Amino acid sequence: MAAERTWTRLLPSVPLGWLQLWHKPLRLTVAVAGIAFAVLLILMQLGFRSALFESTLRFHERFRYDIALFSTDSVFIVRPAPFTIRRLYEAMGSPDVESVSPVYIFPATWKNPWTNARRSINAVGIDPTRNVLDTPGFADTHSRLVGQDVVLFDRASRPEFGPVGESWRPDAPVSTEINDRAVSVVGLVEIGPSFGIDGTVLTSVDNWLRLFPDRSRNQIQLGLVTLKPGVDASDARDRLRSYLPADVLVMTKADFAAREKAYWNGATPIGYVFAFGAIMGLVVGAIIVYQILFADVSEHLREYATLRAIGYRNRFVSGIVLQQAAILAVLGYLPGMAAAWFLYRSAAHATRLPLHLTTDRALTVFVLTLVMCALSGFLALRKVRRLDPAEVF
Amino acid sequence: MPGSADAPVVVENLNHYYGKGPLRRQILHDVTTTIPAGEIVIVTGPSGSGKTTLLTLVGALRAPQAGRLRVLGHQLDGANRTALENVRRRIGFIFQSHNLLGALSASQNVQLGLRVTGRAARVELRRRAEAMLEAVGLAEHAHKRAEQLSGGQRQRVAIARALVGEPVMVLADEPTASLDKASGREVVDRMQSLARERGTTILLVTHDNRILDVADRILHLEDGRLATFTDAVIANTQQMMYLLAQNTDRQHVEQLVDAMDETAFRSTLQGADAAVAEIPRSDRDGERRSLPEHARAVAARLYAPGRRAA
Repeated sequence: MAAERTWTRLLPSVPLGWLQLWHKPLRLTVAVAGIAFAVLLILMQLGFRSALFESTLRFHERFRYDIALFSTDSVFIVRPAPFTIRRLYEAMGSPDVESVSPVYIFPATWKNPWTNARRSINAVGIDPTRNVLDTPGFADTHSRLVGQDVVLFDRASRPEFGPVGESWRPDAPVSTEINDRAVSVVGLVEIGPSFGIDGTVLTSVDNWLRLFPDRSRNQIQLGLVTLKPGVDASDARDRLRSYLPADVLVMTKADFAAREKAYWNGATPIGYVFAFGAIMGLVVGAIIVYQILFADVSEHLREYATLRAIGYRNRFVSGIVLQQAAILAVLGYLPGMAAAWFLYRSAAHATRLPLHLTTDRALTVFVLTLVMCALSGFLALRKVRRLDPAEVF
Repeated sequence: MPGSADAPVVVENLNHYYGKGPLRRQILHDVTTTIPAGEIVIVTGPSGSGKTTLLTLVGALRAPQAGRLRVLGHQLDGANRTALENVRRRIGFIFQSHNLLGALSASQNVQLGLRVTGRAARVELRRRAEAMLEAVGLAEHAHKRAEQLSGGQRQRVAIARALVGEPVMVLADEPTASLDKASGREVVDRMQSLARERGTTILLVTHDNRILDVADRILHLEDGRLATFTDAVIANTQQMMYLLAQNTDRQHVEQLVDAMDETAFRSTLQGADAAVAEIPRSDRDGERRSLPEHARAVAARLYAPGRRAA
């Protein structure tokens, strides 16, 4: 009997919260639309935020290295400050190090061969004999860079550079000018743009120096260090740090990525803007849910007082309101998620940024939505708690 | 008093106040009464006399402030909120307006009344709710929502909700106020017969003199003080007579004025002046209450059988 009683209270014979919502279809629709919008806003902001990080870290993650040398004056990868190549050779002297490879990075001016419009492109100079970059297309094409005035073009670059990826054929290479020097595209790779980089060309160190005649071979922007097998990267980093002069940063892959991420997150407003946008979405959603629930509670105050008068506990009436909050959360989340899925696809297509709806993020936002609705529910409940059952008479 | 030990309601020296400090107003003065099991007790009295306050105290909707109050074997003075809630669950409430949940069907509303008692299995709720609706003559309306029912039907649903849990006592506040004479009568008869079948105690607050006949006992509250049954009858009779007098006088004059021509009207006015002059001065300056009697006195002099024929 006692167990039966518990049953009766736990499982509502009548899903009151749902019926209260269903009774006002227009209000339900407005509430669901509002929450869906908030969910969409949060998902888009979080999506762009992670796309920001993911896209800016592409070079950090795709170069093959164990330890990176980077100028202490460089703030981030787009316009890195140069440092002397001697540090790389000094690193070579360490017993931990297997090999080193210099990387030259600087923006150059690309002429769109179709429109003749000029636009800044990221020009990266590397050793063409080595497979230093783990990105689609590079392994098969990097050896072609030994030729003079040839480049590999990132086919995922923004469309403003011209339809190079679409029109390039092995037998019909695209020719254009970079920094007013005639070059031809001898292969395609796939890297992708970021918030700081619209497009990328890869070339050999020699060709890179031809594009930037006033730059010296002795001044590099990034040093890639490969360690001997079995050497721990963190330990090697610490040894190299004490060994090399303090004018270069010695970082493991993880350090390097973390530094770049910290820059975008802290030193630029962009990371903040997206986090702020997500929080605004949450606040807007919470306000909408609160408004809806508050209006509902106010309207049904007499009914709720009646329930209290006939002996239902405060918990029961609160349960109705919270049930409504939970239902709204689920009903709003689903269309918000669907809309976000659609928008991610079209935004990814338009910006070529790595926007994808991960399960992880979908779950996070679902939990956020539930929390948002629960919070609003508890706020709206204050009115229920003050209810005086004697007032129904 | 007979059976006062196991009477469902025992009230002793109950005092109740609203407001605080200088605004504090006493609503109930030293109310003492006992309601025996199975009785239908009607509480009458003018607005503001404290009827509803008494009802909410007996219904465990308010905590008593001063005095002793025992309801269904529980001492309510000094009881905590949970204890009050537990007493409420054993009482059936019928409110002035039906207070049904608009989003629910009649059957679901009635189920709420049963579910709160915790004495019915989940599977039984629906069956018993619908049996109860049948008992109040609404079997075919079980699936309808409140807005699809008439006023009388809604109040009957509310009665079903109050009675479905088979409460030991039913409290009703003006259950017929929003109903016309026929549906009001029907509602009260339903309450009476359902209560009689089960020996339920009913405490009913009303203004409605048309339903006083169902009562085993009438309590009259005047300014927060309990008056005797006789006082109540006298008060009620006085009020009815007063209304009657006022009404007939009004009709009488209207009929007369309609039948008059100008000359007759003038002589009537002169006659009225004279008639007023004849009334002793002390009576003329009397209280408002006796005004209909003045009017009757004036009319009697004006339209004495001899004069009216002329």
